[in-house]
Amino acid sequence: MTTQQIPQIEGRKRDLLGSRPAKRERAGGRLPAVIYGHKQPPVHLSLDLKTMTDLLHHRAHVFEVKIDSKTEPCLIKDIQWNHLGSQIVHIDLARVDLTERVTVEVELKFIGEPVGLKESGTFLQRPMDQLEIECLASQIPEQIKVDISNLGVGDALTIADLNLPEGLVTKEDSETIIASVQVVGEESEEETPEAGAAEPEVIGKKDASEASSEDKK
Amino acid sequence: MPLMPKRVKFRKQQRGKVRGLASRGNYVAYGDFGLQSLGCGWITGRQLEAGRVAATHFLRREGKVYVRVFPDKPISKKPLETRMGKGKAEPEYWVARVKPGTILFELAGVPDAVARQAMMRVAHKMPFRCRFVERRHA
Repeated sequence: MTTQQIPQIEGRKRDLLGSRPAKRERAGGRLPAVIYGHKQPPVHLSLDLKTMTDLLHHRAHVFEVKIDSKTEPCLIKDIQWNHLGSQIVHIDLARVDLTERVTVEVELKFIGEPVGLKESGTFLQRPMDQLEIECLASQIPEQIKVDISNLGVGDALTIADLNLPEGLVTKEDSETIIASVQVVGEESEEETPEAGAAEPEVIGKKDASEASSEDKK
Repeated sequence: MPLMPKRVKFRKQQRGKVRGLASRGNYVAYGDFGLQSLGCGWITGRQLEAGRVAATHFLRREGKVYVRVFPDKPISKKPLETRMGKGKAEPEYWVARVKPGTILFELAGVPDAVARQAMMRVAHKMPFRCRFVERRHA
């Protein structure tokens, strides 16, 4: 685990709000964003898209935003992607004090090749690739490394098996599985023929016999 | 038999429209790679089954194939040479509504190059333009 340094990014205040001005910002290589929190009014701003993307690739969670010669440490609260998941549309930032405890999602980095994967017809199932943790804003790790090299076929690694560094707490259920080696089920390679006009059962529909008996009553 | 619900509340549905873009089911959630739809419309249970079979056949039972959409909309069709009217016809097949961005299939447990080839074969069975995507680490 490595704790990241706090990078800085320059923001520009946005006066025109709404979808059309935001679209124009994006066309100009800027990323619409908002800063809120700490009982102060929200500030709408735009950030340089390329710088912001680079920061996200380096798994930055906290960074300082410089607006009009004023610098504020901010925590990424939410990232909105477009429908294809190929471009960031908007980003939510929360004002943060570096000495306060925050809840963030940190990437789980799986290390090693599981032993079980050497057998044919097995695959690694990863239901989680992020873990929600609570820690000091200044001590958010870039990623949490998880050694999965000892996983055999049918074995599962749970949150209880993680060795979280000191100061990091997770509120997730300790029984939650984060990785397991599964055997691929027998899947039919053939298309099954249609068995007539099979119809699903209709909920609440009475049988003809039931209905006729009720009519007699 | 193609995918269809086991139980339904109503046998027939109105056609409806597929509007907008996918805001859910638009990221790879289970596997490592996925096939994302770039168009919108209906995909039938038979088309989904054809895609699944194409992937399973190519992978030779290596890796896991996930089908991320389910055909839960009944489509009715009048028999041939029938006069119009006399009420709505009987359900003929089932479809899933797909919006641009919806992940249709996912793959786990195979290398990138193999997954690309498998998904290309599946894409040929799909009624929309599709693209290959990888799992995104937020």
